[in-house]
Amino acid sequence: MQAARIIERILIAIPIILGIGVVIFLIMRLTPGDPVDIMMGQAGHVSEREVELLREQWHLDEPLIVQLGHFLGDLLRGDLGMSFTKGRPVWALIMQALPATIELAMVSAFFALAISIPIGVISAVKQDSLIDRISMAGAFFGICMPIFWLGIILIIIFSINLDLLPTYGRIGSDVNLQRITGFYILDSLLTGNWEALKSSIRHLILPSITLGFPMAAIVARVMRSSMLEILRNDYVVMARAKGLNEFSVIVKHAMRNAMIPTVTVIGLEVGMLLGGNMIVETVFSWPGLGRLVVSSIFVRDYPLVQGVVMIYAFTFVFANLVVDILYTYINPKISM
Amino acid sequence: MSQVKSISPEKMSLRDYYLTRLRLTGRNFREFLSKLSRNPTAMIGLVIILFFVFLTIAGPSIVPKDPMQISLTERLLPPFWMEGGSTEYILGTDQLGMDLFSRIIVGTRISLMIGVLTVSISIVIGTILGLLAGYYRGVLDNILARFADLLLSFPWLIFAIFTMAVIGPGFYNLVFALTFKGWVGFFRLVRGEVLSEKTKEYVDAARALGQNNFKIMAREIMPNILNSIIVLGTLRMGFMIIMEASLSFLGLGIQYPEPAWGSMVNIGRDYMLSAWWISTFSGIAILVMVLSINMLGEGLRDILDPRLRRIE
Amino acid sequence: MLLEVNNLQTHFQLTKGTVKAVDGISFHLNEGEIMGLVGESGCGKSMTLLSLLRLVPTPGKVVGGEILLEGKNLLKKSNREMTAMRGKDMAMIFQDPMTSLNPVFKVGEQVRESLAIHGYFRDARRAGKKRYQAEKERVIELMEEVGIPSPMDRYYEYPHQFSGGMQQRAVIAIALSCEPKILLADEPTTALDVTIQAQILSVMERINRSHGMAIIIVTHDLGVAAEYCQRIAVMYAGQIVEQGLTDDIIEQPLHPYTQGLLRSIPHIVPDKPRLKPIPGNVPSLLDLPPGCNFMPRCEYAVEECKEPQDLRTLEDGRKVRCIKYKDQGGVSNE
Repeated sequence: MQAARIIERILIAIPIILGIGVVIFLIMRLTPGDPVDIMMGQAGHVSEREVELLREQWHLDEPLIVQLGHFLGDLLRGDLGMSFTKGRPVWALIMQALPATIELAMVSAFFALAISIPIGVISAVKQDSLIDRISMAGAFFGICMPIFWLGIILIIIFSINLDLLPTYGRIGSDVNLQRITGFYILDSLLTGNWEALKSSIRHLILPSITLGFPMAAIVARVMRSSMLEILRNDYVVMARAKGLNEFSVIVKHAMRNAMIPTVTVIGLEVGMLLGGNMIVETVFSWPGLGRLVVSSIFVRDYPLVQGVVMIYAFTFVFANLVVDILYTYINPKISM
Repeated sequence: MSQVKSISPEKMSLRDYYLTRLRLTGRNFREFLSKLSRNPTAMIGLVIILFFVFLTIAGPSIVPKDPMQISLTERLLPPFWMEGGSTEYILGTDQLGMDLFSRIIVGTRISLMIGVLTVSISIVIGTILGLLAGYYRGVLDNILARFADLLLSFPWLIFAIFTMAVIGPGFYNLVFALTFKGWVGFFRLVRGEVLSEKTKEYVDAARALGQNNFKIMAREIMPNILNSIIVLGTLRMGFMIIMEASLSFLGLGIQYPEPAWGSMVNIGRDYMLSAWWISTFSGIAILVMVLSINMLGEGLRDILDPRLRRIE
Repeated sequence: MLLEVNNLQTHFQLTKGTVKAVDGISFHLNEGEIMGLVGESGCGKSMTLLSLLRLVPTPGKVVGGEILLEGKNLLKKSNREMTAMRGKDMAMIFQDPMTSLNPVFKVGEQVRESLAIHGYFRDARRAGKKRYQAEKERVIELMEEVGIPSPMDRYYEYPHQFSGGMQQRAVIAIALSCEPKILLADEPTTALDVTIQAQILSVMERINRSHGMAIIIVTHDLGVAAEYCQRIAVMYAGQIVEQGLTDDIIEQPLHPYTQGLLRSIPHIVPDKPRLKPIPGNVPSLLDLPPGCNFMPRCEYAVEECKEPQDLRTLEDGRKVRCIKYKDQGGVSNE
């Protein structure tokens, strides 16, 4: 039964991915007139050959519906076209930048969850206590704070004034690291390069705090409110009456249930993480997808922008697919 | 939920109906105000917002300096309490010598306008489409719901950045890019509520009394979902302001030297080492505005619609 | 005497005032006995049970009295001792079976958890068996005993796949698992259909007989109490107003409230008098005046009822909290 549901979820994801392609295609064609002329005119420094290349790549001589067909066909084949500022396939550029982005996102999400879930639980258990009030005030700030500003403030405080942490990049320029997987922490562990490990961790701290903070704030709030609801249930009293100690009652019986709504929210928050990623990479000059796309917007490298945006959207769909599947495991009412 | 069920609408004209309702609402409204005044979070939020509204209206005429006046001899001056600062430029100047204080005050206008415009347009579009889709179901509902799902599968910022990258920067383009996705939240809220309200007895009663669909929607359903819309709208406004600031920060929204807080933070980024005040104070302005709007929004949620949690 | 409760007081300290949910309750429970605690909802009977397990929800607190289980005062035990005691010496089942099982765990595992936390089969490995296996076998026995059909399969099902009656059986299996001396049943059948009610109660009666387990049934249904309990205590507004053998109370209720309760039980027999409801409502427990709590609804109320009333023991051993019996050991002429 569970397998059937998982397959069903995956099947639902396919039209969504195609739909995302269509929406992106339509937005790209939003500009009136010949998009290539307009884009090239704005870019200013593009050769005749590149214009021809793009015209060909996008099949602009044919009717819109045929163009869409070509577009989706290319998409399904995994062909994202050529970047015309970098002269390389978009796909290759994405693969090159991807590890940096994944590393940052994973570390941010990991710490955000590792901090926010216990905070949410403790705040609910000790409702209205000082610790609850402080954490919820902090969480409220977290959802109101523009993260680009948070990043800059952290740089001003910890890098410029206290000189504790680096301002930009993934690793110190004086550190050599053999690139194996592209994940610097992993690479430095694999090669036993402690210097590089230290440097890459130091570079990760500020960006991942910046990126993880809003997610932590929201997850803590959701966790708290769902815990409060769960703790009122009879089965929590029942668990106590069975003779379970308070820790097991909270962690095993209440938290498992409170995770059900929280997991859904975490899935949605992946979207915030991906969007925030563009900003954080810009602020900290982090050489990942976000910086790639933001910098290619200004040189009007449309194939690249389009390709990266598509990857972001797919990642979001994929993340929610994972959450959906996870959901069937933690919520027995659904799996049957 | 508001309490409309006490009015019997069968014999009344729509005008009379709303007049009666207005009187009823008057009573509810006073009750609402007294609840609001007893909610300190919401009140603080409201007072700060009113202050921002005042700045939006009066801003340009009360600022000490022209916010766009370039003065290259007075570049990157620090705030007045620091060495080298003067009370002429209370919060210092930016890299073109423009007065940061005046620019922050005038910048209120762009943030607030974006918030109000995007949210109101989203509410209008989302509510109309949501009412139609939820009430009539069928093909229209199917198409709209699929499209809404599709838009939801784009992370917010990524969608906005992409759209702005294609259509280019500017105030109206910002409003367009943000409402393009913004209506979906209201659409889903209204559609969902209509679907559940539709099955309730008072709608059946209205139908049994021979009211037409438009009247049923206008009289019976709308008043009951108004609270949820107000709450979601307020909370969404803070979010839209952050979106605008983020886009302007990336250089895709309002562009320097227009006084928009997001782009001011961005400008300050290049001078973090020498002139921390540019980014810091511009960002604080964003933070305070979003904070106050969300404080009001969460207060309103507690008062008007406690069951509404995060939608989307 | 298995359990003795003396002058138990559980108060809720609210900003508006103090709610005396349990206001000086004393009773005892003999070994192997079924006792009923009867009263309208909100009279503090559930809080009495939770107080016995020291599980009163905040801001409530047991503020006085003693709970003697085999002579040892539970209120003096440390939290750790109390935790070890719950489920093992005294187990509880709840009003709504739909919400008393944890929805995310398999029913069988929830029964097994009780065995695991109290260390049953800790030594199973020495006996040449895996502990989990031994526990599971015991769970299946338990499920069979409470009348869950095909327990081997249902072990792996989740609560939402059980009907209400089956869920309550599973809850009873959990309570039964460690063979506690006392079972506290808080309105165990209220949320169930009438036919299922009888089944559940007969399961409890069977357990009482076969395991010699003492049971306190909390119910608002005097009929249920009359059928299954040897003794009954009637509660009103946080206090016990009448206590005695079931037969005495049913035949000849002393307290005006008990009389009212009996009159409001519907009968199917045709020539019985019409139902007569008790006028008025249960008072709010917030800052009650000192006198008899039932006075505002009582047809016999006199001026002296404004004075606090004690639970008087009459000559025949029955107990009642009413001014009518001030001077007598005898029985009123109702």
